[in-house]
Amino acid sequence: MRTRKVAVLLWGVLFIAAFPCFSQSAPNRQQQIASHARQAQEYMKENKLDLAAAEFAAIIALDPKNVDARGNLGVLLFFQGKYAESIPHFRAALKMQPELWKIQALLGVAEKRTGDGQQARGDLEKAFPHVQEEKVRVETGMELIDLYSQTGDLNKAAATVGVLRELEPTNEAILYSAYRIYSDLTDESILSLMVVAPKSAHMHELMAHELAKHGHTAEAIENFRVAIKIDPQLPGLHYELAEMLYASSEGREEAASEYKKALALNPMDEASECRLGDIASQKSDLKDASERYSRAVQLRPDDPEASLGMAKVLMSMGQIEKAEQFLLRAVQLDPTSAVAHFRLSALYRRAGRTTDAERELEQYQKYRAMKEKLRDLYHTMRVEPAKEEPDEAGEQN
Amino acid sequence: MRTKSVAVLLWALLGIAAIPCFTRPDRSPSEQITAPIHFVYHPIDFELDSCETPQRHAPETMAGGVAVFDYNNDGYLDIFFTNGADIRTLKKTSARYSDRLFENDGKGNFKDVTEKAGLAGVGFDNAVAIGDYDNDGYKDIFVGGVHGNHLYHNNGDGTFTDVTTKAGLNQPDSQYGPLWTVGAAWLDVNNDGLLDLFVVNYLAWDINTEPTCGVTPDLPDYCDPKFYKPTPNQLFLNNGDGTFRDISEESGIRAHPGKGMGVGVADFDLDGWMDIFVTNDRMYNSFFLNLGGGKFKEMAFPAGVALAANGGLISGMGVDFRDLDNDGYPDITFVALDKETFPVFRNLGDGEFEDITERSGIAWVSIPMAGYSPTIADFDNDGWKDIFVTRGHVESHDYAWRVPVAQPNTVFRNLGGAKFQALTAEAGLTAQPPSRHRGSAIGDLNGDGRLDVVVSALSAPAEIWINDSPGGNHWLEFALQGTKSNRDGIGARIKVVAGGTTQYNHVSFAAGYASSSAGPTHFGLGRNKSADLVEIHWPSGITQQLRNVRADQIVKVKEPPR
Repeated sequence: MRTRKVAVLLWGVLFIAAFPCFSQSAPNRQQQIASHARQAQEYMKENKLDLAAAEFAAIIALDPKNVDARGNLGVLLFFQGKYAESIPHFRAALKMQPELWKIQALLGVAEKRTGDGQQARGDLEKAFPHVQEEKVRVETGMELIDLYSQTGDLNKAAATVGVLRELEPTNEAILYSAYRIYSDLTDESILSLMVVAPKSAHMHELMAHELAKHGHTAEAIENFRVAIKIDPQLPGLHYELAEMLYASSEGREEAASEYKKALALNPMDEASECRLGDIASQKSDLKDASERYSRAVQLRPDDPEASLGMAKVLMSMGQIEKAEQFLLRAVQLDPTSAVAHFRLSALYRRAGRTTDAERELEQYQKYRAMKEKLRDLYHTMRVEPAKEEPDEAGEQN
Repeated sequence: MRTKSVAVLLWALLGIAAIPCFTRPDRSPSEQITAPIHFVYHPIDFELDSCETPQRHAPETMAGGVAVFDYNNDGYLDIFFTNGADIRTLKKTSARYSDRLFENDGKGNFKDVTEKAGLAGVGFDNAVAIGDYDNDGYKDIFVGGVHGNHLYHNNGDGTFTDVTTKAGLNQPDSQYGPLWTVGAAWLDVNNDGLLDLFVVNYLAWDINTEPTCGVTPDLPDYCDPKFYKPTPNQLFLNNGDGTFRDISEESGIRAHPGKGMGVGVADFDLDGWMDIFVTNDRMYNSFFLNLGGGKFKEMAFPAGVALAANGGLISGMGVDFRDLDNDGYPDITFVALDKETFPVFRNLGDGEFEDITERSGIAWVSIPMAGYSPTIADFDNDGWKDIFVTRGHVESHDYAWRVPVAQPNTVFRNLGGAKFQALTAEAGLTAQPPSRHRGSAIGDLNGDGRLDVVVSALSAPAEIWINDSPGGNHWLEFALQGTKSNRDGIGARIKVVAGGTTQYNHVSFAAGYASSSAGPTHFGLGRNKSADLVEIHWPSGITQQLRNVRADQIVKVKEPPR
């Protein structure tokens, strides 16, 4: 079992300073209890956990309803790996004081480690929403996720890991857990869909996504087409087919037609409107591009792509001041947008604002390098041989 | 080169009768040409062999320089192809790797004169740059390759001598080791009347340390350039005695290593000094502003040509640097791979360029295209320069399931200014199967006043595209002879006024990918039967004017004393 490190954590859980309310007992008993408590604290400082535990036990012998002694003894036993022995003390403490959430969490963990998954789950679920201390909350959540995964309760596991990710976004154990849960959920969803609706539009849509993920673009497109044939009204399908066609570089004309169909089904489809703006711009149809981007900005003012597109068209039209406003908006919405910084740099350079241009160029180079590094890392982690991929901003958009 | 009198007389007399020996298709009335630019395929006995191996070593996909020039001054443009070598030894271990020189008899026959000329080569060759570096009236050849470059002096008797060592051009780089040259340009950087040499180097490649790339381990393919280190370009100053001095460091060129692919030279700000634009493969482009005195300043970002409008690093390939919109300021176009488009930068005349790729109409049509070699020239003689692009993907045929690897060539017709229309099948360019086209060079091979194109292709027959565009537009070509300026007149700016329209071009043989188009400088005159005014600004500073120049001739112009 952990030694020094455990002791440090222990102090976080123990109620060392918490002997304010002794039970109603005779003065000499109180003195004895106080003496044991002091002794326990000394042993704790010296990391003599067995001796400290004996002192807490002595207090309990004098005062069985002493919540603090119960709790502290349970904690000491827990961190010594004596889970089974810790459980009765935790339970006794909680019976007297149910809002001891850290004790509740430790009880759950102890139960889990002694093989009582059902009890553990109940206690951890009770504790998880209330535990305030981040470290204990994360531990509680992770134990819960483990239990949920064991029993196939992936949705609950996903909900829990979502909370933990918000709490500690850079915790690698949590991120890994999230990856595992979402992967398992994906597999489970695929299997379920295959069983309940093997020939459905959704099934083909799903297959298209899986094929696309592995670079089989043509096959993915074919599955989207089948899905549309089965259910032409299915929301999002035309957009997804359009995206696949757009990315394939040879099918952009057809992509435009699919984006239009997507918009016909859902006039609020900002993503399709924005893409049609891109296409109009590539076709040098500034009027259409301007209308498309304007509408996209109206539909979703928080989409940096729409602002970026609008700025590009305005720059082509020579409306530099308006373009600048949209570029600034795009940067505000996504400060890491290399394209937005690059275009701002170009705009400032043309306007003779050299210092601003240089600043934006630096930002562009910073974020471009950062994204390049991430992409390289991603490819390395995929354990694939090196293969070129378009730069983030490499494609004309 | 033909003199004015001989050339005009010859072609005027021969006229149509001189052409039939070149391929002439049998067309039914329903197959009459409808596109304003049209070509017909003419074969030539050359197949580019880059020693493609299953391991897919980088140089294997990068071969293919082409030159069009008159090597023996007989008035007909000849053709030179660079070729590969054994990839492991970088030696031409077989005749199939020989560089080739084909002599044009003007009747549609191209005779292989490589052996006599002594131009078979020794290494894995990529680039070719034509230029008369010793001003003796015979065009010399610089050949750049993988870890070895060569300068061939034209002896004037149909033979060449390898003068690389004497010229001092074979020194390995002390810091980077052997370099891999993919492009070169002759230009007079200090206007001393001697052609200097700018060498474009790609990346640091070593067969022993090259990574393995591909979508799956059992399907290797050529690696992304990011897996290799950049290398510097080089600038060699002509000492005038057959030797060159490496001024890469002192000129400021060496301080900007890249992964160069193409080079275009032009005086972008009309200050009398030729500037240099270099495309880099998935790196920022380089733009070397000539400050005079052999000094350059890298200005790609301030000039707005470092990147395309969206700021992405794209696969910059070949380039050309000429005035597309007839405003007198040279513009830039270069090509890239699919989804990256073929960028067009319009020179604003104030020290900056503007990306007009989308506005030009090229963005949309070039999205599915992978290009290698763009050449700017007026192919339909309408007075607006078009862009011929050789196409083909960098990837091997094994990846045809993923991207269109073999592609036809395309000509982008200039609709007047900065709008272009892509012509592929319409221009007759699908008469041959799609291929992995690489380098290209242009010139009027059959003397009909229409510019033809010679294209190389990886592991496939080279192609000659004879221009048979309809319309009967008139033309003018200028073969300059510098006296105070360099003899080729490289750097000279030519202005032609005809029928109220003015157009500009300049003499530069560097164009496209790894290639050199060293014929006379061509102008289309549309319906005009003469040019009212021709104005030549020589690199020496001398300005020369010709008036009322009759169309449809090659005008040989000698630089006046002042």
